[in-house]
Amino acid sequence: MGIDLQHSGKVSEDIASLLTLVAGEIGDNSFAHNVGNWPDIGGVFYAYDLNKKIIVLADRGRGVKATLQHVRPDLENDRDALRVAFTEIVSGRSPEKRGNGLKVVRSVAEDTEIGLLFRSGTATVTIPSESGKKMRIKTSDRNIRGTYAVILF
Amino acid sequence: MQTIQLKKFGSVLVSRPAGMEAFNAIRPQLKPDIPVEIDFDEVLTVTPSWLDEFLTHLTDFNGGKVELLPTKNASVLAALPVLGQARKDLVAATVLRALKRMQDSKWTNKPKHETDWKNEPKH
Repeated sequence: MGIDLQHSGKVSEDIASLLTLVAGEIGDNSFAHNVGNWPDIGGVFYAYDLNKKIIVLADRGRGVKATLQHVRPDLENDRDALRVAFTEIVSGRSPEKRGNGLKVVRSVAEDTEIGLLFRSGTATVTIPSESGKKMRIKTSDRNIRGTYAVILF
Repeated sequence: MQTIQLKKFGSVLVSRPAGMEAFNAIRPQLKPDIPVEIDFDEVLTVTPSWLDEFLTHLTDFNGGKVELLPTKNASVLAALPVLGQARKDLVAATVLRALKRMQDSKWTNKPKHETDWKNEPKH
C-alpha cells in the first residue's frame, strides 16, 4: 500500500509516509497482541481504496481492554482502555519495553489531514480529518469484537 | 564510524519482529566499539515499533554509540518525539540527541550538507 500511495499522486510523499505508519502500526498491533491468544479466527482484515481515500483494518482478537488488563487490572471499561492505549506509554506485553505505537498514531492523526476511527469493545476513538482536531472517545451502542479501524485521508 | 543505510532493509519498515530481524541481519557486519550512524534516505516509512526494536538492540550491542542522521522523513519525524519521551535509556538518549541536532540545524537554516552535527562534542 505504501508504495502504491507514494506513486499514486493522490497524496504528498509525507502523507504517504504517515498513512503507511498509521496502517502499519495498527495492523502490527493486531498480531503482536493476539499471537497465541486468538479467540477464534486469527489474522487481520485489511483493505484500501486509494480513489475513495480509505483504509480499513479489523481483527477478531481479544480487544484493547483484555490486552491492557494484564498490566492495568483496574481498567473497568473499553473507554478507559482506549484512553490509556492512545495517551499513555503502556503495553499489554509488559515487561517488554514497548507501547509507543498508538501514541504516535494519535499525534499523526491530530496533526495532519488524516482521519481515524478506532473501535474496540463498546468504545470508539475518533479523530476527524479537519485541521485543529482533537481525539474524542465515546461509548457506543454496539460491541466490536477485537478492533476495527478506519483511516481516511 | 559505520553507516547503516536503512533502505537496504526495504522501503516500508514495519513491525517489531522485522526490526529485530534487521538488526540480527546487520549485526555480523558491526563492531561494538565503533560508532554507528543511521541513514533514513530513500525509505518511505519507518514505524515507531520497527525503529524502537532496531535501536534497542543496536544501542544494547554497542553501548549507545548510535547517531541518527538528519532526515525529513515524515514517519521518522513523527515517531522520534514519542520514542524520546517513552523511557530513560540509550534509545531515548540517541533520539533526543538527534532531535536536538535537527532542531538546531533547522533554526540556523543551514542546508543539510553544511550542518556540523558530526563535530559536536560527545558527552
